[in-house]
Amino acid sequence: MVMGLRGPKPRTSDIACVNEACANYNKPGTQSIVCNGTYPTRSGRVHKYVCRSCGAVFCGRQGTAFYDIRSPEDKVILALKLILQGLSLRAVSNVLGVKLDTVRQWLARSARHAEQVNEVLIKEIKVNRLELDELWSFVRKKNFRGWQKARKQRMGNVGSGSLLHQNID
Amino acid sequence: MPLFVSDGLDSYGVALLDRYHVTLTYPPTGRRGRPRCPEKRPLPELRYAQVVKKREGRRLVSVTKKIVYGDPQSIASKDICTSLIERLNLTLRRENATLQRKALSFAKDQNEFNAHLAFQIAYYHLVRPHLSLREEIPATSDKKPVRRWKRRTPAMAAKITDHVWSLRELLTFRPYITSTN
Repeated sequence: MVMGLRGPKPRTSDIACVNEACANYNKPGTQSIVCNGTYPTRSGRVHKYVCRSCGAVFCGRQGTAFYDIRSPEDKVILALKLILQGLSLRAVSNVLGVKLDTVRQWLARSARHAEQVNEVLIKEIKVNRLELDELWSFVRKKNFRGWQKARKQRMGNVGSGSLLHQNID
Repeated sequence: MPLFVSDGLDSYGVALLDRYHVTLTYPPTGRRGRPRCPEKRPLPELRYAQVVKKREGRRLVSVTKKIVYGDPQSIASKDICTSLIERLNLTLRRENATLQRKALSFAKDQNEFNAHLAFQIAYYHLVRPHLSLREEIPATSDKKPVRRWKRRTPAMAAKITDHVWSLRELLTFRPYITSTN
């Protein structure tokens, strides 16, 4: 049989209903989900599904980090890869030519999704040894820079000789 | 219960005792005065040790290993070590712009920082192959393997998945699927 223009039919065994009121909400493999056409996006056609038990229609991106994102998926993935290599969000927005807020939103949505994946998969791990430590972060930490305060007190507000130094402090 | 190891910061000991303890109450003595307060005693299976580093200025003077809770016989000295988590912290710091020291890319918003870190940790668990977890592919007599090493992620080592995930896989994985095995 020749495959149609839309390619192979997607597997519906992994898809679950997204309607919270439905009895099959978040339960994959209940046979109640069937395909319901496709629609075009910038990264190819996305399948639509309908739930036979409650009648809800939803798209194949629902439940993934790409839901309601208009940019091509490859661009989003590239941005996230750059972020994960240690580039700042502003650098990523400059490299890809998108707005800073767009990059922020991509990261926020992926993070929300990744958090759910973490929660579901990474749990009840059997380990023999658990190392505990803390990580210093820099959100609203200006007042914690004690060395700078001490230096200012030691040297007064004049700086250590040159105007340049004063500006840096 | 695992062996807990941390640095010399006392907060972990307090938190662990708070979580794993039996409350010891003293019977009333029948005499006058305030009765003795009930005490928290660590559970016998709770094992917790610290690596205490002493510094003088910038110089590291001494490193002592201190067993806080648990039987000293059951804790090997080589297990009291925090190098793995310190290495993880370094990886997070290297690959996260908001954690770089003395840079302007620090996070301006706590929620955004938390999100960035959560995403990075999921990536670390499932996508990023860990060099020290790699496995050698055994060579058979007739055929030499194309690759010498099989790359593995922490999730593979914990038997949560059987392959290195792609980033797309992480982003399109449906969280209501609770097991990948």
